[in-house]
Amino acid sequence: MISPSLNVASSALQAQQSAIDVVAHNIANANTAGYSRQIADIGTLSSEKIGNISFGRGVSLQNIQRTIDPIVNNALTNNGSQQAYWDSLNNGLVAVESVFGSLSSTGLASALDDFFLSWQQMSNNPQDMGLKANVQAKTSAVISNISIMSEQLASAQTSIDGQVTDSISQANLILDKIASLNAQISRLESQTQGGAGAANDLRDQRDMATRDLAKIIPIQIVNSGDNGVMIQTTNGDLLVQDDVARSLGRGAVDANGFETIVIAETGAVVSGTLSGGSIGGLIELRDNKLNNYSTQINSIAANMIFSVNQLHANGSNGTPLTTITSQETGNATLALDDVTQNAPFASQIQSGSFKIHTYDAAGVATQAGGTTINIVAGGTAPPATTMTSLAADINTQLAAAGITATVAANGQLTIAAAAGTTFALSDDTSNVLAAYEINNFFHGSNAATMQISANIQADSGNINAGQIVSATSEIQIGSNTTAIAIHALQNQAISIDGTTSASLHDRTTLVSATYGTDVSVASQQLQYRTAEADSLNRQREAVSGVNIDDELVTMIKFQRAYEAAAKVITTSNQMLDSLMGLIR
Amino acid sequence: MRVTTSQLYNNLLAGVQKQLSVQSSGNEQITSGTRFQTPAQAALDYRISLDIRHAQMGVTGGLEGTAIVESRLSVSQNNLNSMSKNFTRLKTLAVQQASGQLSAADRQAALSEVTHLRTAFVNAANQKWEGQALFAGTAVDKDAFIADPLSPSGYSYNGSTQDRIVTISDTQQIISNVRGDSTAFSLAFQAIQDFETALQSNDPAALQNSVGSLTDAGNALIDLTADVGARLNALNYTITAYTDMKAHLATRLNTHEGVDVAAVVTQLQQSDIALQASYSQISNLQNLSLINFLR
Repeated sequence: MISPSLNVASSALQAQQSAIDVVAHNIANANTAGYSRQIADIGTLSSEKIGNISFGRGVSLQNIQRTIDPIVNNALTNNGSQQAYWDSLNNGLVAVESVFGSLSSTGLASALDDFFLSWQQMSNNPQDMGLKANVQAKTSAVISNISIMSEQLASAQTSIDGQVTDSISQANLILDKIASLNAQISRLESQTQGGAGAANDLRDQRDMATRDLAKIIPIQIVNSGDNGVMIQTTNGDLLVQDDVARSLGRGAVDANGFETIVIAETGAVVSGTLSGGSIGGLIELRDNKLNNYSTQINSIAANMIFSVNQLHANGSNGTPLTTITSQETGNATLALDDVTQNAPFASQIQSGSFKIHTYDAAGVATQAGGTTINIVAGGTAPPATTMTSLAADINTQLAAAGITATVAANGQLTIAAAAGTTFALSDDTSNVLAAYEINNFFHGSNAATMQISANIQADSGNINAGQIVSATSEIQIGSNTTAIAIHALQNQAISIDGTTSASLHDRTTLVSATYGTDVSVASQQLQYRTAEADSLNRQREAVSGVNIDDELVTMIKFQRAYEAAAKVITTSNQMLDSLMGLIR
Repeated sequence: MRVTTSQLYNNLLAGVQKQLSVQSSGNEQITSGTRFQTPAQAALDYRISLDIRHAQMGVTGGLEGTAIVESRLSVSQNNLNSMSKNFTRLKTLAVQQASGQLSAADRQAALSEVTHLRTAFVNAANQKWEGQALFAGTAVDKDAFIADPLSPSGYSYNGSTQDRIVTISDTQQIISNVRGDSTAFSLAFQAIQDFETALQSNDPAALQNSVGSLTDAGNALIDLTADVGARLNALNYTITAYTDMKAHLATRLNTHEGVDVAAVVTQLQQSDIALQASYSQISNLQNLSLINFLR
């Protein structure tokens, strides 16, 4: 009866050897991302009853288990989604930091201060051509700052959209990988297909892939039969079921001008449900944060353009005009204030009037106080003024003074004086001059289209610093009322686009402050999520991590058991030798 | 809680990165001399900085404006002083010529000097400063006074009725000129004209009247000069206020943006110690392994 002990010892040798294999696997994967420590589950073999006594038959490796905490794993997945969201938002915001300047170069804020200071300086010496050139130069600097900010933000939005597409491709690869892992796990663990034991490493890989997917888009995970997992968007749209994966793609262009994110197979839009993941952060950055800054910058441009033009159009540079053409085109037969007009500020036109002052060859006013041209807006009774009717009115009233008004095919109005005579404009209460850019300072309507008017680009001497004396039509070279009024704009609360009324300075500093606050919030959230991730990773490591010392101690235990089993074989062998010696 | 080797290394690495971040931030603050540089570092502080700089720009514009007003008013005052001296001489002449002892020939001789004094007065009244007429209001390209045969005084005002306003701030504007249509000028021209007529007509009674009208005109010019002086004095208060504001804003900006170097250096030294300890611990950790004891 010595052979059973040999068998028992042999089973022990095999079991301890296998257990050491598990330890070796753990040590080999000590630094493998997502790896869960595995434990050899060693159990006794079923006993053998001889007579009334049960004899143990040794030991065998029953199973190899991975040590995981599903709650921590789920928390890691969810937190990973939020961490990736704030990380992509924070990184994206930091990437556009240069748009908002720094103390060493405050960008738009200082350019705007310089712009208004140049008007103040010109108001003190309105006839000084050098100061007019300075106004033109400072205006160019403001326009340059505004357009560069706008371009950089638009470029960042396009770049972020490219990152969204890249992230979608990455997500699709992960979705395919999860489906494939589902299939492999199912096959390996399915008893009906001859599989046995848990596919520990594949399950680790699937957990890891799921966490990676959650970092891109927020997901819900549901365990399905046959050891698979079902993955859905937070809206419930299916992404992976068992070995079938759907893919994400780009859909129709949305209100923000970018393609939506859809499930390619169904066309279901998932963009609205992306409250987490790196794609969620990128979309928040592209459609809300950067879009908000662009909107604010466009609003600064629009308010600045129209408000300055309103004042400038009523002004005079001290020299009467011989001809002037509106810089905005339009439909000559539509009402001037019709919202479908090309002129972006057409809706600002209201019923009112403006004056045309006419002068003879000696520069003497031919009608002191000028001629009033009425504008009707916002109704049909009396009929609203069109560009054609405006030109006809000017011609009717001022033909005798040598003034003619013509409308080109593109709707541009030209007012011209006969040879030897001149004219000037003032007292526009209807906004028609500013809206159609007649006697204007700026051209355009937003950050992208903002320019200095063609007349002023051609000659900075055309900048209006003063005004005609309305009652007498007198032109005074030293008049500075327009320059003073434009300078005063810097701290006046204004709004022509439905935004909250605020001064241009406040609007500019608000953009920087909004950006800074957004960065601060994103940074704080990222720190919070990172701290949570660190804590969860520590918890996961505590359960699933490989401690080399642990493994070495375990290895020594199995090594000692292996040596003992070998000793049992040696002893049994000696016993057999002794037994054989009795026979000899 | 069970701790793994990689976790120990990860914790130490995170600590090293944190201390390196402290070093980087501290170095940036010390080299720039400011607590922050960008809106991302301190949103509201950055906005306050922009507001202070905006106010500084306003003060710069205000001081430029006050300098222009001071310059124009000072030159106007000099010219008015010159005109007043002119009138002192005219009054002296009038008193002399009103004497019954003088003959028509004496008065014709005096008339020559009066003509020169009138020319000098007209020149002073039409004086230009930096190419701009001082007393013509906003019609700076014109002579303030032109000879006018239809005017009883022989001269009429040719300038505008609007003052030259200099912007000091959004809410404060200062008149930087003395307008030629003020009574002092018309009295002066009329008094000179009357004096010349009296000399030409050798009329002692009219000359006696001229003494009175020249005295009145001279006094009106002195009053006008005194008014300019008062305006210059008031302007000095504005200049002082703006200069104080400039100094205050510079101090405020420095206090707001400036870095507390001592505090940052202390923080950097603490970070140095933590960093060196972390490096040392990483090195120690390598030796604290069971592997080193299994032979």
